[in-house]
Amino acid sequence: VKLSDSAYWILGALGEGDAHGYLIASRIRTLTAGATSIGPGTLYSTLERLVADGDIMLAGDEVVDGRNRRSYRLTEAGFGKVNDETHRRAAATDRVRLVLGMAR
Amino acid sequence: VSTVDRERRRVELAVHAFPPRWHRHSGQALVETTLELHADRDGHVPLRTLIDIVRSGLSERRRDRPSIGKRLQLSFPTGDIPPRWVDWWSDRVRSPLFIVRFIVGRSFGAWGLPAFSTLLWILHPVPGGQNALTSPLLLLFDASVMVLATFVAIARRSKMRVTQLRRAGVTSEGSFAPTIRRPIFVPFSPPTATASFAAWPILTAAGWLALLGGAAFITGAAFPKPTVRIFGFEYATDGNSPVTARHAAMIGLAALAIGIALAAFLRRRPATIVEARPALNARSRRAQQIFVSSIVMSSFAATWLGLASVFPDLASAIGGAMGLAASPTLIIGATRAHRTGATIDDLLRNARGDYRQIRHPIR
Repeated sequence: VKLSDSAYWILGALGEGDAHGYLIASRIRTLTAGATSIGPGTLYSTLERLVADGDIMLAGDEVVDGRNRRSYRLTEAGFGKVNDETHRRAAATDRVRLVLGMAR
Repeated sequence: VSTVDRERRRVELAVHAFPPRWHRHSGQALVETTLELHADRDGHVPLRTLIDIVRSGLSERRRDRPSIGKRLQLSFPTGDIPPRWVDWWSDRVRSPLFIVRFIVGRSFGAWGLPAFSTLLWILHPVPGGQNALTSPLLLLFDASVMVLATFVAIARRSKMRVTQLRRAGVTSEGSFAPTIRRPIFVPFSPPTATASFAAWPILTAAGWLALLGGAAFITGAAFPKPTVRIFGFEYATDGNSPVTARHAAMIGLAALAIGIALAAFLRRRPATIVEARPALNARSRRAQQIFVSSIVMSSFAATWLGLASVFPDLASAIGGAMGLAASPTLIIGATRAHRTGATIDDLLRNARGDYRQIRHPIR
């Protein structure tokens, strides 16, 4: 199953470990070297969908500095999906690289 | 008002674009994360971010709701709600617009035909063709149906919500939860002024009918000799009138006897619901006092209209008989409503003994 960009980066960010919304957004910026930034609305609607699909799960709710933090955890199914998607994207990148090399 | 508070309110407003269930579950986390992401910009949340939240919320709503065809199918008041749409249905039933939808649906007979005819007339105008649509009688009928549907919907909104939620396997307040010894009432929200406002006009209308019919029958029986016309009835003993004063009195007494028997039967029903109601607040008590006064005022109005023979005979006869049959129950209902602050919904449930039991957890 092909993952959307936002789902892919969120699953990738959760590969580093459990994280709440703010941390996920920060990790995505680091992972993509600032090239990709997901808005909070997109972030949370994608998170809810991933939870519903069983790709991630709620790791817990806690209040830190008066802020309500909800943490998420990558599941086995989610790990499998992000792994497959990474291979698919890598293969596509290799093909593009090859095409560009041939063109030169 | 600090910048942070102002920005928080803007974000909270944008988050309302999400479906209510989603909003309850994750709204707060989304607000906090949004504010935290922009804390380094003096807390200022850019318009682009707010648009992203609204866009995501609207997409979520689109994803969350069935197609128009499916919605129409589910709107019919029977059948279970499929598990896929339970959350959407719960949000819909709990929405303030639920009552509006109910009123529009139930009064379709009143506005549907005139609206359709008007549309046809707009598309194919015929000189004088709209006269029938604007006749005072038809407009009066439409207005009456709309007003009645509105009162019924407001008065019975709690009951309707419970019924509709039950279709989705969701049981909420307004039901009886089974326990080992006896069912425990899960109360509706505390009675509000709105509920009282809705209850009293219905009692008023029924009491008004009772007064009208009762006065007509009694007067007819008391003055049997000359032909008299009171409250729209013509009472005579000369054999020309199909309804003599004796007939009128007998019908009236029979209706009253049925009413007393009905009231005695209904009174034996358990009064648990009314007793379990929370106490009325001050605002609701004032509302009730206003409507008690309105009973007196409408009684005067009824007397005047009856003496002026405004109503046609048939309407007076049907209304009078119904009113007399209903009056004993009404007296009990009105007394109980006044004493306990019950709404019409409570009284009807009490009369029917319709105590549903919870088979699902409260959601």
